[in-house]
Amino acid sequence: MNAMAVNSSKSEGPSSSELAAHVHPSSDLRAGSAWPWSQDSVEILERLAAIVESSDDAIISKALDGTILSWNRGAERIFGYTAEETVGRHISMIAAPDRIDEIPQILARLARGERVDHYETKRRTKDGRILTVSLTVSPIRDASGVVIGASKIARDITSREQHRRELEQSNAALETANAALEKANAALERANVDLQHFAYSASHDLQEPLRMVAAYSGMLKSRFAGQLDETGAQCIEYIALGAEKMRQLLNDLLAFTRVSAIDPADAKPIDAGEALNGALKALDPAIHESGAVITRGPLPAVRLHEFQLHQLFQNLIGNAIRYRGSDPPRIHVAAERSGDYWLFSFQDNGIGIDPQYKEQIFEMFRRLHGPAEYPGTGMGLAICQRIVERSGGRIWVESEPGRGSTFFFTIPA
Amino acid sequence: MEDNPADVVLVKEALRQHQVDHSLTLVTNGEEAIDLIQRLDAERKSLPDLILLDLKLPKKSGFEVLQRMRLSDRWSRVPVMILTSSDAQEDKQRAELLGITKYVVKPHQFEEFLEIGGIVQDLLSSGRSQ
Repeated sequence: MNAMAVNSSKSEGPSSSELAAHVHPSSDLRAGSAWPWSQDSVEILERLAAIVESSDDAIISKALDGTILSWNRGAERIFGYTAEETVGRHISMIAAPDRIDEIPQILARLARGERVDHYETKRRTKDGRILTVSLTVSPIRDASGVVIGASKIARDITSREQHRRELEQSNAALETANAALEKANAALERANVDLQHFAYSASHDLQEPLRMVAAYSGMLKSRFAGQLDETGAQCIEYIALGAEKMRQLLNDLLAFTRVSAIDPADAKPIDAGEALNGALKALDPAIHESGAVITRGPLPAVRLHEFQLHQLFQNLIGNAIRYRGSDPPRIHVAAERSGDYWLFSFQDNGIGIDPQYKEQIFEMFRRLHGPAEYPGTGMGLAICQRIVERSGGRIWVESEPGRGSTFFFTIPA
Repeated sequence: MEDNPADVVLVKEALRQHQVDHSLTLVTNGEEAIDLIQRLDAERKSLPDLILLDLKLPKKSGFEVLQRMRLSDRWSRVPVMILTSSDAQEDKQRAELLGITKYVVKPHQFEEFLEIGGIVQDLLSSGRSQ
């Protein structure tokens, strides 16, 4: 059993005898007199010894029968055993329980002079932890070339292994999530198409019988009003009203689903001022009837479909006109840049909204007043919210009862 | 050319309201309409002064009826008023491409429906004066 022996007289680092003790506890080199090595050889060996000691990796040498001959500081750190605890004992003390057979196999290969390179396996530390290590084992030969032992470098790759496993797991999880998302998306697409068809059908096919009711109650009223008493006249009135309300609802429902059909992504910039003009033209009868005055600040170009911007303006200004107090409506439309968004505001002098309802009013079919007080289908603000949120913005109101309301919405610029 | 008897009554009311002097022939599906077109052509009988045509007819649609009309020289000269419940732009454009005189969407309100009588009156008098 030969060992690497170093004779050093330098004081830095471990002394030669300490090193020698690491390598072969039973050698006592202080006697040294029989040592035939030259000073140059000694220096080279000292340097090599220093390299071995300073390595982060475990560098272990062993005899062919598996007895540990040397154990560096890296080995102490990685495996938890000191050199005293290991030198002279069998290498299988650090084998992982399920890998015990490996050791004889490796030793056999070494005996044949083979090198084992970056072999990944498991080893056990002093406190029982299992590490994943990458081993490189090289045969040590004597002067005549006979393999007399092995030098093993073990790198602790446990954390690397763990990261790799975690990465694989998260990748797998991501792929599963992606597949699920794609499936959900496809289902949503189909549902959306179905909804469009249903909404179109509802609006058009349901309008027909409605038109019958409306037209004939009108005919009844026109041709037979004289033959009806007050109750009869009232009957016809409510029939006609019901039909008209239904017609409006169907129109609004259709508008709502049309908003969902439009993809916000492919909207080109349009002039909000122009869109406002269009909306005001459509609201002309209501504006005239109420004596409404609508003013505006400078309005930008925004990336929305014309239909959507039109709906927004028409609904918000229409509401401002409709829910007026005793004064003629005065409405101011303005826009200002706020970070990445345009912030639009619609300020009116109408009846105002009780703050406790200021979220509720955006729900579908939600109204704060009965049809006898103010007409409406309860869809207008729901449509506005749908348009704004689909484009990535927000809509809200600030109001006090009796003090008018200001509606705000943001649209990405 | 109308399949809904309720609308036929309304049209009659509209014509009565505007005292339109007329005799009305009714066909209630597209196939019947095309048969009529062919028959009158084949028998070299005189054609109507005005056609009131619904686009949504059973069997053959109003569009198919229009197309059949265009195939005949005589029928191509007969004014056609579309009276339909569809307010779709595509329908209007398609009909206009096939050469119609007027496109009217059936109104919900009775009073507005009556105005159709006036439109018919105008079309008939301008037709007769040619």
